[in-house]
Amino acid sequence: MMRRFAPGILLSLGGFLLGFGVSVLAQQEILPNPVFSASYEVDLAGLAARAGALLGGLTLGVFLVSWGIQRNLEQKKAALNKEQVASQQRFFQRLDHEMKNPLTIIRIGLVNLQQSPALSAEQNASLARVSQQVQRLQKLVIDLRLLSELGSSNIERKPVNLRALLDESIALSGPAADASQRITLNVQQMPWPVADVLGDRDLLVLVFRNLLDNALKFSVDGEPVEVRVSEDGHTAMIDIVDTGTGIPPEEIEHIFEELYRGENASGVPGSGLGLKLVQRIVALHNGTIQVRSKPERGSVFTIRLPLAPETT
Amino acid sequence: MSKTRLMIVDDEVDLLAELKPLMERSGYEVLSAINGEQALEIAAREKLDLIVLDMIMPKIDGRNVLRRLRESNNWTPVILLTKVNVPAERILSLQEGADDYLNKPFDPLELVARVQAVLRRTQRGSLPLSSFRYLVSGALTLDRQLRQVQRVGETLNLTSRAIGVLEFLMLNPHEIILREHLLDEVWGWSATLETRAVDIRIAEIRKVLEEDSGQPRYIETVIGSGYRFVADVVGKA
Repeated sequence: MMRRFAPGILLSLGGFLLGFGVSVLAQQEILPNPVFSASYEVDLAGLAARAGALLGGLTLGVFLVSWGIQRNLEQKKAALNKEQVASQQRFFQRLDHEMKNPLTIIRIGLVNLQQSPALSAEQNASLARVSQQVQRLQKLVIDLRLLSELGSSNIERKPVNLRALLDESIALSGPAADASQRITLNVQQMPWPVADVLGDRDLLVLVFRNLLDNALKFSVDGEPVEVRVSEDGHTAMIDIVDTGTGIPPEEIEHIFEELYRGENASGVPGSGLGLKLVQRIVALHNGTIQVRSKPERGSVFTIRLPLAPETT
Repeated sequence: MSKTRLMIVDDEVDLLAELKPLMERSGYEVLSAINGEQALEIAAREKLDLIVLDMIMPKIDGRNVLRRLRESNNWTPVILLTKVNVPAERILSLQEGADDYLNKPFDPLELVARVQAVLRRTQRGSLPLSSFRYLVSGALTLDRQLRQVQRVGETLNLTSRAIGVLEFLMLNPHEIILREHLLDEVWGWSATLETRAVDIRIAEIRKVLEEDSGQPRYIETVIGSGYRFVADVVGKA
């Protein structure tokens, strides 16, 4: 913002200083004053001061008007953005509501069928498959609900120790043996250990579990996943690094969209809402998430979270 | 001995059609109502042991049915079926006199278990703990409205979720409460979170209450399943 207006500010300041300088020089009689030009007598000091003031005033005026327009535009954009988020949340809420009754009825119907006597093995197997798919739909509904309900009002803000948080997230990720063997955690210890972040422990576990699950899912069995944690006095930085399939450049801008599934994701289980949830939770913590990726080389997801005030 | 009588109230005919045989197989006699008016009529006329009541219905919704029942001094236990899973909304339902609630889409067998649990713990005609503002157990008092826990007048420093966990355990004293159930009640995101989130809050409560988990005065761990509030709880208005 300031960079955009820098030329205007410099010009107005320059004009003002030039006028002031010439006026002072003329008054000190370093520059001739009055100057006779043709048959007119000109008060150079007065003229320079007025010209400088006019130039300065004009540029200041232009600066103020364009700053006002810019501010107005930004406010409108923010309001539009807020309305879009609210409208999206309303849509999720309605979708969630509409899916709940049919899902409830299907689940009760399935139990009724499963409890009926004289079912063949084939029918039982078929019912088991249907049940599994219903569970999948239910997971989608729950993620939708979480997305629609997550607001700043229902999250806790307490100091959270990152090492304990990540230890827990790792323990909960993927198949347990796989996760503990493949994930290495590297937390800054020197010259001081990473300070606590301020946030909702349960939701942050969800963030790192989702990212770690993805890192494990999208890399070949046995390939390592690394978690690196550091801080700069104000912000904690957590990198989740994998050497997996990577994300094609054209897909990067879409991966945080709801229900977006990239080419590499086909056949990999998931609700399509995981990264959206991650992004929403991180934003609620006043943090950011960035991704760098190279196809067939791997990806780095970087999360930045503000440190808890009392520990900075 | 006559069968225990339930009334199921939901505006979805298909839900009633599926739920009725399930409950009947579980040994109950089942009446059904497809809207709030019909539910109030049946409740006024018939002797019921428990009502399963859908929250969102046209005209008179579940909460209104519940309010009118309680206003007419009808204390038949009620399990609310909700679609809104906001903790504040659920706390409000309990304060208005529901004995339990279940979020749609629920596990049908979980509903059967809840019906059994509510029937076990509520003696017809007596007020359920959920109708009181304060839950008192010895020196411990939980103020459900202010969301505060006090021990001999001293306010304890607990997170809101820890208070939610303690409240739910105190509302159901001497009953085993599954971790998944607590997650669903207090967090509302049961399938998204791990049950370890519950253990962490229990550890927080125990630390603040200076509990010895080997000889608990309040919360006992039931290996492999969940937790149980082992002390007696009384309600205070």
